[in-house]
Amino acid sequence: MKFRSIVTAGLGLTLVAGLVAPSAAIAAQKPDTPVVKQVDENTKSLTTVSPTPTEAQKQQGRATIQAAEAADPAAFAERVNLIRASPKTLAYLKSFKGLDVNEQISGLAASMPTEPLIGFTGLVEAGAIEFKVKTIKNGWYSTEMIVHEQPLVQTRDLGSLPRCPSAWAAFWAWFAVNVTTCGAFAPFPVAAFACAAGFAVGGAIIDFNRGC
Amino acid sequence: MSTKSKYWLTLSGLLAAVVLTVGLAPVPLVFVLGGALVIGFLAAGVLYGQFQKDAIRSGALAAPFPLLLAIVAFNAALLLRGSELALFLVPVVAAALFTSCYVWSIKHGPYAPPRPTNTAT
Repeated sequence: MKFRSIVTAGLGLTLVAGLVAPSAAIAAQKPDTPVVKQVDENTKSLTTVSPTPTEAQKQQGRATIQAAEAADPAAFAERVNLIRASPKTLAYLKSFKGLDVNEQISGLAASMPTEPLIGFTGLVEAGAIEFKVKTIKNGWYSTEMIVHEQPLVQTRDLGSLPRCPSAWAAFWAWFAVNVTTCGAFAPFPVAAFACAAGFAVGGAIIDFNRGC
Repeated sequence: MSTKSKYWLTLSGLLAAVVLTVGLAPVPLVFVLGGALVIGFLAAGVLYGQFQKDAIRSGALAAPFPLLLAIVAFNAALLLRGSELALFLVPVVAAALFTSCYVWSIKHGPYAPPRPTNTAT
């Protein structure tokens, strides 16, 4: 999920920065090829240069946005709200001076489905991805995307311990059945103990965390 | 040591063994040992002559406290199973169950003295 979100973020970046693929109309200057730099052991940066979109390109971008919105208005609105609720993502979109931030928001919402966008905004808010946008020559944009590789979260080995509410619910249900069934044998302790032991051994087969 | 004490010592030991088995034994072995322990409980009842219908029906042999304690301890062992702390905590739970059951049984442990068999003269 993390890798897919980063790739999708890169695609979104391209779309938001230029709203369209590089156009042959801009003959004098062409966007540089992306430059990848290893900043340190856990940090990489990708710098792209993109031209200011022409009016034709903006129209094409708007058409793409309208098509995406028409395809699924509810999901599109959800993505727009998601972006607006992410201060760092908004700050990134606002850093493209001269471009309408509302169009930037709509462009990003149109560029990817909801799940990757959730991942993208989550990574941006967590600081795993940073964007630094500068306006350079002729109003072009230099965008540096800095990716901080997250160390693997080493969770302690919890074994059979329930890890989510549904797992706990399953465990407590098992416990209740255990008590009521073996409780019926209470007048005869050895049978009751044998019953409880049988339940305990049977419980070793059950994966309470399956529902998580 | 009286027969009653031996009986409850045996049951307490078996209960602790169940905790250790459920909490620590790997999957194929847990079923073998667990099955053996289930049979062990029933065998203890037979060996100590506790399969007495009248005593059972009258509730004279009822032991709800150790039963509830055993169920809680068994399920605690189930939760600890496979975790990093199992090697340390499961023996502690087993020891606590053994001690609690045996100490409780000294004053409250029900026991029906085996009936003597009548032989025709």
